[in-house]
Amino acid sequence: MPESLSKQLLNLADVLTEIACESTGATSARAFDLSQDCRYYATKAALLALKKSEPGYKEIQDALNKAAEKAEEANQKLSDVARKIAAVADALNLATRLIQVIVGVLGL
Amino acid sequence: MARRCKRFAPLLGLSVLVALLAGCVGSAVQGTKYTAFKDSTAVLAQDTRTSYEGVQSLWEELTAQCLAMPSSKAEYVNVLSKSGIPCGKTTGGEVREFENPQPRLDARLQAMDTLARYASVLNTLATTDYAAGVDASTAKLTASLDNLEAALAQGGVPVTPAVQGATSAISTVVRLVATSYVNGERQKALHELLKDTQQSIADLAIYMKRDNGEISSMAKGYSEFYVGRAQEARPSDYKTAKAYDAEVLKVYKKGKYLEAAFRAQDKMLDLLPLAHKELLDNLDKPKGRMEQLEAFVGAAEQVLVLMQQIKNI
Repeated sequence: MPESLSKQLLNLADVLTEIACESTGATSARAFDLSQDCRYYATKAALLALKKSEPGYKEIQDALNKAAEKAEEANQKLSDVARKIAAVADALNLATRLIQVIVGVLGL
Repeated sequence: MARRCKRFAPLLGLSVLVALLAGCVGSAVQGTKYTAFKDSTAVLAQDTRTSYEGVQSLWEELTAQCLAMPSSKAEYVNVLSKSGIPCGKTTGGEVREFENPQPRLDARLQAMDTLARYASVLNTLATTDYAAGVDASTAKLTASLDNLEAALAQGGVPVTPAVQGATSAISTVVRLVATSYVNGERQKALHELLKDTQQSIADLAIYMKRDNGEISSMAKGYSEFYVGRAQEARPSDYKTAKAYDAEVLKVYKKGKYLEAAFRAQDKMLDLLPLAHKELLDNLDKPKGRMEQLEAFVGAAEQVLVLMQQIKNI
């Protein structure tokens, strides 16, 4: 994959900084100013690239949100099913206790 | 110029990443597969937030420096209506304007927060003990059935082994039906969810990694531009200058730590779709070790250390 424009500009800035450090006078100052330009344009290029790639995120976010909602629904459904089964057990429990009472009353 | 370069030079030798990653071994994230996935995803989302905040603070430091420069005052008035802060002129004579990156970063943060929410709900679905309520009810039922047996026996009603077996079987059957039904439905729901989102997760990882490259460049551009201008912006009196030098060093260090943070994040982004896919595959074909998930958790641990370092700057 080729390097992005912002990366290339930063690499160029590094080279220019080295030239500025190793030279003197006007050459050094010029190289340094150019390296600062490269850094500035690198930030601009990066922002521009970010702006361009933004629409893709919306679709992904929608898909993940939908999945989260589906998971919440499934969670709710399973909780409801478990609650219903527990209610059946509770009903059986009540019936058993009723039988106990009847057995007691009849003196069996 | 020579003085400016000398101030820069010793800092360039810092091997920040190696020093940071050296002590990061062992497993901090425990629990089930889904909990580990959820926790690591939360670390990834939080790290994204921390590193973006770091980038934003670099921009703020840079703009503060720019505004403090005497040459910026007039330019500031000229471009006040725009979104950025002027910062001197380019060699071509154009006013440099650093646009606020916040809106660009926010759009990506929202996506990461959604990912963290998805992982959290997935974990709830995978780990909730739905049968807990059923267990409590069947336990009560078992006790009642035992009492009934005792009452019948006391009343002289013969309780044959067949009756005993039937009463104990009732609660067992209720519990079994509940557990197998709930677990079967849970597996089905998890499978469907993991399968449906796999592509989105893979796409998100690709997008985030590509954009992290740009955001990392932006952070490097901000910090190096700031450091490059430090000599020019340095206050003249000794005391203020000393504090200013410490500030410059802080900005430089933050820039370097952020580069490391983005690299660590990239590693997690590489592993994210693989770990997610492994959860899906494990439903079809359960296996003992989850290598990709373990690697994802390991990468999260490294990121946690980096996050702490960034916060401490």
